[in-house]
Amino acid sequence: MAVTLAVPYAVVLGIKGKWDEAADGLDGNWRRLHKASTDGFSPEVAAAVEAFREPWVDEIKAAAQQAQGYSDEITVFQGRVLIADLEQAERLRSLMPWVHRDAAITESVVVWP
Amino acid sequence: MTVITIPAPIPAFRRMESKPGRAQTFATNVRAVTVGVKDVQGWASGVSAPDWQGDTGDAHDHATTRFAIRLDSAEAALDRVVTAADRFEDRLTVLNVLRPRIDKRRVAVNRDGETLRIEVEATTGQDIDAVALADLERRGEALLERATAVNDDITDWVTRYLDAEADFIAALAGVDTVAEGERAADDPGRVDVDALTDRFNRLKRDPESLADWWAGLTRAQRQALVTEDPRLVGNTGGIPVVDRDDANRAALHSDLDYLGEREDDGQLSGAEKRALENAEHIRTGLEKFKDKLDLQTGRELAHVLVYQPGIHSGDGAVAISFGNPDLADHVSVNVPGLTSDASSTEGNLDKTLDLHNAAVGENSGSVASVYWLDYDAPSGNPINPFDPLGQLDFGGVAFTDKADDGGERFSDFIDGLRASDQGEQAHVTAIGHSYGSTAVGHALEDGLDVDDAILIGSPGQPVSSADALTDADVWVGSKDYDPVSLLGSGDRGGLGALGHDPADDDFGGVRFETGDGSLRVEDLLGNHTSYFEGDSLDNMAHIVTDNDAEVTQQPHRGDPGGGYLTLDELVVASTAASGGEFVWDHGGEWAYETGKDGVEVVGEVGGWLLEHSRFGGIL
Repeated sequence: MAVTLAVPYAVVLGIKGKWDEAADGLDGNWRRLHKASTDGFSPEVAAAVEAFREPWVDEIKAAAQQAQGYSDEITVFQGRVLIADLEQAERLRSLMPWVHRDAAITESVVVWP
Repeated sequence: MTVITIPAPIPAFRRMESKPGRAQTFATNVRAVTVGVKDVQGWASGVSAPDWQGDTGDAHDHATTRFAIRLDSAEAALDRVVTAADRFEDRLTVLNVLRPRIDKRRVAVNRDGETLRIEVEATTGQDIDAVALADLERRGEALLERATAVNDDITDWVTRYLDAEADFIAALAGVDTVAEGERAADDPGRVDVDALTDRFNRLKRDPESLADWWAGLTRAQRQALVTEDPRLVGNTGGIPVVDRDDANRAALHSDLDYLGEREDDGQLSGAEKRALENAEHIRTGLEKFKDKLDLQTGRELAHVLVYQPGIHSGDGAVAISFGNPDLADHVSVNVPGLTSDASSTEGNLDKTLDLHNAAVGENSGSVASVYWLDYDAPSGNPINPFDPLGQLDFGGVAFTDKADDGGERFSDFIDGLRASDQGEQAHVTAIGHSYGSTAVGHALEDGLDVDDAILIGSPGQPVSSADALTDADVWVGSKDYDPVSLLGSGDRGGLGALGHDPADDDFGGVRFETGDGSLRVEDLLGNHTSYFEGDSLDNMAHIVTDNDAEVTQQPHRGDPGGGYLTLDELVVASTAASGGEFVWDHGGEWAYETGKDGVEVVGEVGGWLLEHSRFGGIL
């Protein structure tokens, strides 16, 4: 059994690059926020900055990892060429632009020699 | 017994623990982060389900849509903090200005109180006439009034400072969890930045209308636009200089972060690599001056008015001002010349700061001094028509087109500054150096809105007289041993490919004193690059601050006392002054012995100059 997802290969390739760029961008963002110094602020302000910064550094970092993970997933799918099952095909389709949300997923029987 | 009341000494009051410069840096960092998050969120939402804010099952299953929603919460939280940080910075800036004024009055009251106390003590137990006694009483009462006023102002200042901190802390605390960010994203009062961007784009060709519209926006709306599209806000005329500075710094740091990550991953394209290099040059230039603060506001003295690292054939565009042109009485804008690109930012900022300091030293009002490089300065050699590296159509359409195009962009820039100017219109001076003077000349010919124009080391102007060029006052600085200044056509020839020599006697305007420079051949290039020094610098400072009567002059070329060498004569004379061997020892390219043909000599000079100027961006 194999599964075919009806999304052009160029779209898959392009969207992988976009997820990769998103990860790079967000990596730069959380690092800048993490490094932002509180020198020159009163202790009260510095404490508030720290309290704000910590969860958002974590959140943006997590989003960066998520984006990188999506990019890597597409790489894995590309490497397999054939998508093994329906669930994987739906997963890949959810990473494509919305316009491809209805891309056909078809199952076919692979007849091994 | 008469009682004379003397106020108790007023103690020193609270210092500013939170500094405006620090708040500016923090705001810049958060803006840069916000720009980056918005860039990614904008892409993700663009390929998400159209109504992704809904909760349809399809949209929920779409991973990209969920990702966009996730980032939207971060975006909303960051937007709030950017707005709060911007307000905090503004309030600290005002308080920073007020504090020394109040403290000065406090010290004066304490000093006068101490003086009065000593005088009163000296009279204790003495006979004192009624007039003197009344005088002491009157002084005591007046002092008491002053002390009361100072104490009130201190109380008010401390209250405002504490309020500023408390408001900023509250804003931070309002979004210091992800859940609060989600609520901020759903806030019905959230800024509709798409609608604002549409409006901005419709107004951007009309700086005055844009300035009026911008002034009517709330702080949150302005900051949302700054972080949504910093490249648009930062580079559009009519936007206040402080906001352009905020936007451009955010874009700069966002670019450095993003392109830096791409570089680490080995994924930079050629264009991105060049853009990153340009951004790094600009950062280096800014960092060099970051400790120079505006003494009035506490903000950095440098303001970034243009930042576009990827345009002009990869050369990049940048404009940086020392001082705030919106607030200054006198504004100068200097335009560099051939081979200038972002890599020459630091050196050109040094020159601009020298002029700024000289102009401030005139004590004729507040000053802002802008370095502007937002045109595609040719990368070739103006002197050598056969230069294989020149990539020029010397004397042809391509070369003058760049000056013409540069002039148009320069005019737009000046119009933008005029539109954002606050209070009485500033006295504005355009300064063009070398090929930049040609670009300024084209702008002047097309009606550049300035009061004065300074043309230094000019290789040519598009028309043959100052009157035909502009209604502004025209000032010319040309060292006779500056070979580039001998390129324009005049009464003794000149190639004239870029136009007329403004130092020529028929041109008009005022030729100010610069000296001639050194005749030695190895100094010729230095003659061309040293207008921001000595008498030349002093005279430019006089002109920039409208102290015209202080300007010292020298005769135009061709006037009595204005004898000079043509370019080929200069080559021969300077080679002789250097002993001739120098030329042959340095590449053997000079045509001292064989250069009977003027064009050939010119070409060889050009080759030498290009070799020695390529890295400095000095022509």
